[in-house]
Amino acid sequence: MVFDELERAYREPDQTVSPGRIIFFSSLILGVAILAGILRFVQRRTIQGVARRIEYHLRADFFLHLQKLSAAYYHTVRTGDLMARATSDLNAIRMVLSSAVIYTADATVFFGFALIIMLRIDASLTLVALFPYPILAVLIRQLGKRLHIHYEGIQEAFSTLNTKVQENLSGVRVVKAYTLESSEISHFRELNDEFVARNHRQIRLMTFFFPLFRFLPGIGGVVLLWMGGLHVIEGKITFGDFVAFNAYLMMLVRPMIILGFIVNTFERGAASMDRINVILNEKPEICDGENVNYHIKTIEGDIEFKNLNFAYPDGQPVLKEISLKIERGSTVAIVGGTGSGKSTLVNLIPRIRQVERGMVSIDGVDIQDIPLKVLRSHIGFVEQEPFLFSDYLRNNIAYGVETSNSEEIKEAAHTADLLTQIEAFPDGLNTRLGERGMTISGGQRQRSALARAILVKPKVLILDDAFANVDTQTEDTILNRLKNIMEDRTTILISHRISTVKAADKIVVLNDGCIAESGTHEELLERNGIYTDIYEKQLLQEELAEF
Amino acid sequence: MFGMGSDLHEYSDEEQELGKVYDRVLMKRLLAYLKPYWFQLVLIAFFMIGNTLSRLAGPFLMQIAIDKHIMPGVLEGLGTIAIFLVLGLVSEFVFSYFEEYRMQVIGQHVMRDLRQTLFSHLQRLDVQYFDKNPVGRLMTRVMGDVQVLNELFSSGVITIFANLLNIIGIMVAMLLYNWKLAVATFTVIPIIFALTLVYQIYSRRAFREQRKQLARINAFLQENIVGMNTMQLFAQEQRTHLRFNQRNRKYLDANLRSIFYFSIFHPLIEVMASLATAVIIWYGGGQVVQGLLTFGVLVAFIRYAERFFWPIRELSEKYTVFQNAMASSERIFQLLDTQPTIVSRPCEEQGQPLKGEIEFQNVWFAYNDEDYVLRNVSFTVKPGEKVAIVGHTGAGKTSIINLLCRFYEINKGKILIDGVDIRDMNLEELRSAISIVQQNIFLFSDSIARNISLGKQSVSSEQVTRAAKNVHLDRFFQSAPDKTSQQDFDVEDRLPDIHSTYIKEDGGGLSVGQKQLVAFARALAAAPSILILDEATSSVDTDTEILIEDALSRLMENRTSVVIAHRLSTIQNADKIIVIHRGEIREIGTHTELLKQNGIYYRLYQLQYKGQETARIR
Repeated sequence: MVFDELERAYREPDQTVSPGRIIFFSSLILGVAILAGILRFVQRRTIQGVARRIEYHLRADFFLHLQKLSAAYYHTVRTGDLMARATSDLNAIRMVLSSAVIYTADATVFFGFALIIMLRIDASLTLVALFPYPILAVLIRQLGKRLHIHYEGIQEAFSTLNTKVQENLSGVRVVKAYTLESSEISHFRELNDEFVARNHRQIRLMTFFFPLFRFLPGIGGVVLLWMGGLHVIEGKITFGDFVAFNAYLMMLVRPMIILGFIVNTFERGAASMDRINVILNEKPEICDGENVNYHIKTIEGDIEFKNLNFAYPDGQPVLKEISLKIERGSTVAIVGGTGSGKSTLVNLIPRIRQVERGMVSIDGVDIQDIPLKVLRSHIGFVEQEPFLFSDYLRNNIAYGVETSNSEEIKEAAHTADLLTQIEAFPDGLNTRLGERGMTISGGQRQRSALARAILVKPKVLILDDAFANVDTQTEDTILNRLKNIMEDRTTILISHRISTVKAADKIVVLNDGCIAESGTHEELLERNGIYTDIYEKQLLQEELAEF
Repeated sequence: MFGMGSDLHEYSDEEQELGKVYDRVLMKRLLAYLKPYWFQLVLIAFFMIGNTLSRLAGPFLMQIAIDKHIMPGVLEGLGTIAIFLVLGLVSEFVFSYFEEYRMQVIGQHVMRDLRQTLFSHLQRLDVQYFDKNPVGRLMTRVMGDVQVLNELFSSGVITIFANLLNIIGIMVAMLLYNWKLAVATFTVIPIIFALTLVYQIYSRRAFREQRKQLARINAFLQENIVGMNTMQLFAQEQRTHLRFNQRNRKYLDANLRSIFYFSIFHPLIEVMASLATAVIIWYGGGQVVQGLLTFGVLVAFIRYAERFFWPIRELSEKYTVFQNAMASSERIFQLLDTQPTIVSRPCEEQGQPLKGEIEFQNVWFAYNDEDYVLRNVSFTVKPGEKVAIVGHTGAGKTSIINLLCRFYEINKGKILIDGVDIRDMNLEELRSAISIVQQNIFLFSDSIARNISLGKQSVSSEQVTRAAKNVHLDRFFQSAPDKTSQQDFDVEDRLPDIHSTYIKEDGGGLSVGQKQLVAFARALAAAPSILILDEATSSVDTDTEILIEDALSRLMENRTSVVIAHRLSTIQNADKIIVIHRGEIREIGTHTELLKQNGIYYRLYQLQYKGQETARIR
């Protein structure tokens, strides 16, 4: 419109255009721009807000699902891989949700708006000027398909390269001992080059297509100049219309250039979504089954293993035909060599590992039928290498309970013979632990974990070699204190030390996945079997320590 | 794929301390990696100029078309202009393609170089470094952080130049056309400048808050993935999820707050672009009316103004890229600046194989400070001798063999091989002369044959075959590549061969005994002067045990061997037994001599080895 006005002024110099008109039009342009700017601001804000909210929910779901997956699953995945998915893949998906959506919306609105106006100005001219766009549509489809393939290839090469670095770093001693440094470097170079080569293919594709998205609409512009110019000269359209038409066509160019970016973002996001879905589709191996009896609110602690068999995923049997009864309130100790299956056996009770053949029951109920939460919240478990959180010591000890006061925490710490040491810390219970609790000693970690388990007031307490880093004297103190609070509760003890186990009501000797011997300390010594052998060796060991 | 932020929590605090000066130092070091590609960069600059000129041609041709043809109604020559326009587009297309392509390729190459440098550097670092730095963290350096730099190199650095060039080109074109109108248009530039400045101040703050919250989430996530077992044991899923979501929520809130800044800036720039157009029409329109300006110039100006704002938008976006890249490169250079303490002295290689005489002279060693694990250790091993080291767990046995390979530097004393201090030997020569079999056998996920040869060119395939045979691997795997020997086997029962049997990560798929045999074959194929062996403690079935013992005796044939013994047969066959207790050598002698002493060895024997006798009999 403004150009029509100006044109008139130009063609008919006598009739002057008031400067006011020009200012009016300039202000109009500015006014419309400000309005559009406000709308665009609202749009961006809304879309990005939605994208962030979706990201929030996706992350929450991801973590929720991770919590359901079993220990066996975590043996097969690397933390770094899960973290990569939770960070960069999630980010790629958000990019689709925000940027790609904003630009798609922008492109669609601009396109539709400009198209309508252009059609109103001159339909035939519009059709001619838009001829490259169907070609573009076909090209974009092609680009999308190929990009997907390329991204898969890149991901694969990246993974190989990743594994190489990981293996090299894990096997650093072999590498050094056999002076493999240079051959490792050249092997890495091969994989590195392959990764770059795959990236080259994607780059070649992208860098060819991107300028094409600029070129094709540009051709439309040239056609417009030619045809439109002709129409102006022939008087079919006004010069103002011509310039406006031109401006609208320019509006179409930008969405086209952005289209390449959109397609790229979408394909990358799709690949990332696949990667997240792999995790989300992983079926939790251990969960409440169909036969779960939700009326069970607590357990008493009569444990029974019936013809239990267990094998690792690679088929290596760990436990063979184990049958064992542990009565409530009793203390049972399990001894045996490395790899005899002790840890696996106790891991089956809180269903950290899944029973395959045979049965484990508590109070006569198959543990599969006890709600998982009920089962686990009534079992206290102290692992060989306990995991502590980088949090206050107080919170670490109170980890398993909803609410607790300092008195209760101190009492638990006292039982674990940790209280005197805590009181010696400058910050006491408010001492902050480092990553994995590495700022305190191994023995202190084990006793903190013990206090954590005691505080839950479990019906069944499982100590999986929990005193390995604690000296025998402290161990004695702890066992004596435990005796009082575990009076009517079940205790299962795994240990290498005879001193730890000899007071147990029953001692079970595991050998090669089978129960070799069982009985009290005295009974087993009379048998003169494996237990006696271990006992004698430990006497020797104590003697050796004197040297 | 690893991306930015895979371990953001590590540097969230450091980031704030990064000063501007520091950024410049880092940038300088980063840009040094572009040096090998200077010729390519010159080419790119050429393409860039071509590209900019082609882009500038469009509005100029448009102006001629309008002023010379459309307005006066002269049809003649309009076709030529159209052809020139197409040519301009074609050249823009070609230049853009080459420019973009070369740019991205350079980005990839710089990253490849950086990865390679990092990897090679890691190969040089001491074992001690790896004791302290978990694999995961180093992985992030080599893979994650380098990937973050991708954006900087492939789009950042060069795009900045391209955009600046574009801006300058357009400004020059506008000035040449009509400097008055141009200056009038440029009045919006200070406003844009001020806007960008304000935006950067606020967005930087918002950006930091975002990163801080994200770092907290990721730290929490990482910790709870590692501690998943504990969480499940204590049935704390719900509570933990609640705590996770508190952090997630805070991150969301930080994001929502920052969205204001991120979403207001772009529309503001758009408004500025329209303001420029308005100024052009207001001022230029007036000039057209007065006949001082042609229509074509006006249209061309509007078009230039349109293009002027493109690079400005892009430039403002590069800020984030730059921030991320600085954080990553800081950590990369930190790793590259770590120097190994154990390095080869510049000395000539002996050239001839070592005889294998070992002497420890009053060796003291501590992993940390003064916490000595070896005290005043002295002993000698003659060439060809078999020595067994025995002692209780933690007595210092493993340290002795670590020192012999010079994995660690000793604190006091001397270690001599063939009379030469190992610190004066070429490191590669020293380690090549020694083969070590560790207790935790590390196998690469590769074929068995490659695990034996370790990909060394000096090991021929016959040597691999022979080594496999000598350690009885041929009981389990076909080692000879030729067909004839297969005739002996029943076709039904054909064994998998060592070339096509792939070992899974961490040696999965092989039994414990088989893994040991592969490690033996590996040591044998290296044909060392000295064999060091940390015998595995885990038990294997009797059949395999016999194979292993036989393989061992072949392995030790005609060479010096130092064995941390766990097998009865090893100590019985040893020429000399060294008993180490609490970091000191307490007894030295043969099996029978030491038994008679009735000291530490006697008890150790009762404790660790006697059972094996009874086990064998049973």
